[in-house]
Amino acid sequence: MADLNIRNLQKDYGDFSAVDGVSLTAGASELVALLGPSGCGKTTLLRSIAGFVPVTAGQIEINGKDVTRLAPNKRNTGMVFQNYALFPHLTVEKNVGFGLEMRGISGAEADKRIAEALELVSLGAYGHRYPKELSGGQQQRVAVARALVVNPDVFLLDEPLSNLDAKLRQSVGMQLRDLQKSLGLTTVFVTHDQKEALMMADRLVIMRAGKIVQEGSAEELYDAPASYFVADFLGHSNVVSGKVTPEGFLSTGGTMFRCDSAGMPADRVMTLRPENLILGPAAVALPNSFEARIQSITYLGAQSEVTLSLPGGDQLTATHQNRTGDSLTLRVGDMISAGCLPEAVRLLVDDMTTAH
Amino acid sequence: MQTSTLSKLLFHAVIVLLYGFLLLPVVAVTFVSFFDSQFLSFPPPGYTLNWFANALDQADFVNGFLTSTKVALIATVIGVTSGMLASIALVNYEFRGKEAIKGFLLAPLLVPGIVIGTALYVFFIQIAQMTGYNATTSMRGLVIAHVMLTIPWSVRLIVASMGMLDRSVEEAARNLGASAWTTFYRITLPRMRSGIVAAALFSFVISFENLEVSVLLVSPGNTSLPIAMLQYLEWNMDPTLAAASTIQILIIGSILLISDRFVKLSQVV
Ligand SMILES: Nc1ncnc2c1ncn2[C@@H]1O[C@H](COP(=O)(O)OP(=O)(O)O)[C@@H](O)[C@H]1O
Ligand SMILES: [Mg+2]
Repeated sequence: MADLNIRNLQKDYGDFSAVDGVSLTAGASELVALLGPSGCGKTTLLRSIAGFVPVTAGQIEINGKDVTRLAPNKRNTGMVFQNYALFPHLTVEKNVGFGLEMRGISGAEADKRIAEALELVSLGAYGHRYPKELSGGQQQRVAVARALVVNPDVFLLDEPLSNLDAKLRQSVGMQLRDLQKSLGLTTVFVTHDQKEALMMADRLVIMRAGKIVQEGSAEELYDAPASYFVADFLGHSNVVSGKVTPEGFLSTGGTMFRCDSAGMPADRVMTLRPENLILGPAAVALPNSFEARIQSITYLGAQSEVTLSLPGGDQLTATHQNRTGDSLTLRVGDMISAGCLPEAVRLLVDDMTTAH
Repeated sequence: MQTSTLSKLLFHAVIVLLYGFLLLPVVAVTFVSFFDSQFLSFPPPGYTLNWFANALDQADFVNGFLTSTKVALIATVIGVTSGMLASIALVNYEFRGKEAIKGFLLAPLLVPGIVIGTALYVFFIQIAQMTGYNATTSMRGLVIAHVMLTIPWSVRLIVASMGMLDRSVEEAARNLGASAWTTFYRITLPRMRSGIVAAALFSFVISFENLEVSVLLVSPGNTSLPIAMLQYLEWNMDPTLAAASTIQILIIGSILLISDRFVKLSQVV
């Protein structure tokens, strides 16, 4: 399998940059997710790799070969389109065989590879059907088989799960991942859904307004977001405004959150993951500990989301794990102890409230 | 329950009435073509097939039929081919002046046929004065005029049918290794088929039955069937015309039925 190497890629539409100086690599059999809000340039970047977007500047290399100016049909990428883009007038077999035919592979060899590809996505019995005779999930698998049968150097997927039922997403996502790993496919996939990205990707690339804001493993990004935007985009975060002090962070409401603030510029915001805000007696002994009033409780089954109001007016949300036999009772209006470890307090660049 | 059956009944009644209204002229013409009387009278004194024999005996009708068929075929081939290429450009590409070009291509639909015919006639005469080539004395004048009708109809129908097509399918073909040309004839063209068939049918019928645009452009030996029938009407008032019309209705009906076997017409229009 190959690797993909993108350097300083730029795509401008007039004075608007859809992709703005992006550099990205994907190693052999690595699954990279491009994640970001709608309109941030993910699809444009993916389509540039496939060759459908004439890029303004920069370079795309596949296997060390510069493909930046190569026609889509000369690149040997395998793309799964968001709406699958199956050929409606051809049977499943013919759909899957199309790429082979274009490569001059026919007869028994083609039949064998088509059968294998369909078997791979458990659609062995559906070769003679037309796309419209298949369910959405089956169509997606045909699209996957069609892209993979030609042994692409790079496997590209645009929001592969977005057109599936919520119930199917998890299992199809895991199947895709297993397939990708067992075939050792260098893969780039686009999604705006963080769950999808966290579940499937080896490496996440967070994009915003055409630029990469941070990349890393799911754990790295979740635990050490580089900025408020990333912290807010991946999972939930409490955001507290205030100012950095030598001891930590002093909120506008006057609560002191102790943490390592050495060398931090003063204009940071503080974020705290709800699951790191601990409630009840266990919180009392923590370095950061305070009394707060329970403002609301949202019961979510395994967890409850508890909104606290701190004496100075700051609001924080905690995720509380519900356990049978737990002695801690939560009631709206009650005072409760809450606290967190200094390591859980993050002081981040504020790239959300300041003009961007 | 009560109201729903009643409204269903009303609905069906309206549909039957509408179809009846639409088909009435066809039925009436066909009926009259069998009347055994020189002048239109009702009830007819009897029925006969003589008018059909008479229609087929008219050399002008037979020649007109051949001319009309030839003109319609040529105008259809030219109109559908160029209309198809124009539609691909209009639907698949962004370029400057796109709307203007589309408007220009569809414009003949907005101009009364008689105006087009007169304008073309004047134009052809001026060309003839300048170059000595007179298009109105050959079938070419008619063909040129009818192409002005078959292009807009083709563009309109093919653009409409392509509007529902999804471009990513073509990209998928490119992604799988197909060149632009292979993608066109393996993917784009087959998916345009229904639009093209519809355009060809409409173009043929529009050209074949056209009267207004053609009326000034025919010449002896190059007279289309509708004009030949109009000329017959100047001196005769018998049901021969009804018989000729019945034959036309039969031919066009057969064309529609035959093409329905290849492309479901209900999906086309
Ligand atoms: N052909 C185009 N012309 C002009 N702007 C475009 C074009 N394609 C995409 N854009 C713009 O580029 C931005 C990025 O689009 P896209 O890559 O589709 O975003 P995403 O996939 O992340 O939602 C959007 O603001 C979009 O409006
Ligand atoms: Mg997108």
